[in-house]
Amino acid sequence: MTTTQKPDPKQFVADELDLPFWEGAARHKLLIQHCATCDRYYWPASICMQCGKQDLPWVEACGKAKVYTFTVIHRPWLQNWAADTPYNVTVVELDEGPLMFTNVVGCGNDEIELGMPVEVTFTDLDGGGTLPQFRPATG
Amino acid sequence: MAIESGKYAIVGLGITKQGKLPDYTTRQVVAWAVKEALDDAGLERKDIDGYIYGHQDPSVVDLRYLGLTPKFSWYMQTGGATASATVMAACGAMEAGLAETVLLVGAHRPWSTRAQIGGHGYGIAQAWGLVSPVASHAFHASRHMGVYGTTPDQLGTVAVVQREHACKRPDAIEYGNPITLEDYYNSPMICAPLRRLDCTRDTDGGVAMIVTTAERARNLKSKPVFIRGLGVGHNIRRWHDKSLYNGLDCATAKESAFRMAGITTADVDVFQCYDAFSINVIMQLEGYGFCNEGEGGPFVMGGDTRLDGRIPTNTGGGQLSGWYVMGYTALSEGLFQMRGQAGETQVKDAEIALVTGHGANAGVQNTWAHGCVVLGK
Repeated sequence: MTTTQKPDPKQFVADELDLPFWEGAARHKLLIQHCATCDRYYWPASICMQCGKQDLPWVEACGKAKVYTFTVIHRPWLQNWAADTPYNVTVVELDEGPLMFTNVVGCGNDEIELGMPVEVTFTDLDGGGTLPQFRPATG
Repeated sequence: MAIESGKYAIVGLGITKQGKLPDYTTRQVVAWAVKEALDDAGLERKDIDGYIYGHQDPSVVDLRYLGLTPKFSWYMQTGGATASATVMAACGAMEAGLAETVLLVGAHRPWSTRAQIGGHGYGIAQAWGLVSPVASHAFHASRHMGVYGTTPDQLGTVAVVQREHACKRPDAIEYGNPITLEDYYNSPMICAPLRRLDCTRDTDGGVAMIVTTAERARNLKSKPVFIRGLGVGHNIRRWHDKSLYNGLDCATAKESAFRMAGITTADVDVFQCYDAFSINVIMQLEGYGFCNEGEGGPFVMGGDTRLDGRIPTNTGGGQLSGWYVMGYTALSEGLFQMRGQAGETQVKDAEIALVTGHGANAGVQNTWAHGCVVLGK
């Protein structure tokens, strides 16, 4: 799998509020936001739905998740991803609660199923940036 | 307080040729739809005192070119919910006493301009290679299959049934082009589990219609169709309770629309639901209570959305076998059914049509806006 053509994921942030997530990924840390008052976790950048607190601190997630839903993309609309087709885009439910977009790597697309336990792995892109992806859980 | 059921009506309906319009500009398509709608209603340009254009490109809002002099001109866009949203905005403006004859227009030329509906830019998930509405709706389909056991046969049957309807309607793009489940499985996989025949296509075309008071509508040339109920919902709610990918936020919309109309699901005679993708039909049959949650697939397989089924659905072929203009397909077919102009797919004695739409992500994928309009004779 070539990663040379993939864009630096930081270009897809709406503004600087999501940057800590990508900066954490570059250090191979999976960061999500936590409201200490309500003990609730959020991703991407959010305010707390329960108490309305803004500027929630970013904390490291445990990296374990379960597959929530997924699609396998056969048509490469984005030429950056053309070499990878068919590739999956997957929604996982992190152990801390939030849903998160990712790719499942380390197994065939036909092996992905709902509820499958997965764990985070970090893929450094040749063009800059790091993608947090998930692989089948080892333990 | 809700608007009184039947206080406003939709009169003139103008639909341009749909499909491929490479020799027209978008302004010309808008003007074509407007002329058809005015002629249908027997109204003149000077009668239009409000204008709402369902498009994201303000440069196409050219009242000078259209010969219109309304008191307001708004453009609004919320993807496939745009059509229902413009009806609501028109009713709201009239309820506030700001206008009494509001022209709604949806028009675009994605086929000719090769602009993909919904665009490539799907926010943060694009970093993982997620692009296009079809990938987002595939999230819905995978989840629905995993949780409820919905099958590819059931998705394919949505497409087959709607094609049957289109084959009875010369105004549908796929008229004369029937398909089978075998054709469905032979169509290429786009974003699994969705195949080419699960998807609408990017067609050129325009639609215009006029909303006015019931009183005024009764004195016009075209047969009035009354606005009985209006409802909105938003799937962002379901991001937080993590039921987002199981369905759409029909429940909230249904509650207000059905209360305003004084109806239950059993009163609905025809269902024109937004079908950007086959899975949408299954989710909305469940969401509006035509069947239980998770049973939309078997409901379609059992023939219940056919013309002789429990709830004839997308009787003009829908967007899957017809044309796409940001939700105006379903709204137009609802009007045809209430006016008795649905040709060979006219549902006899239909009194109530339910029309829906959803679209435009609001933060993350599948946080769609949802809207519905209950139409009545």
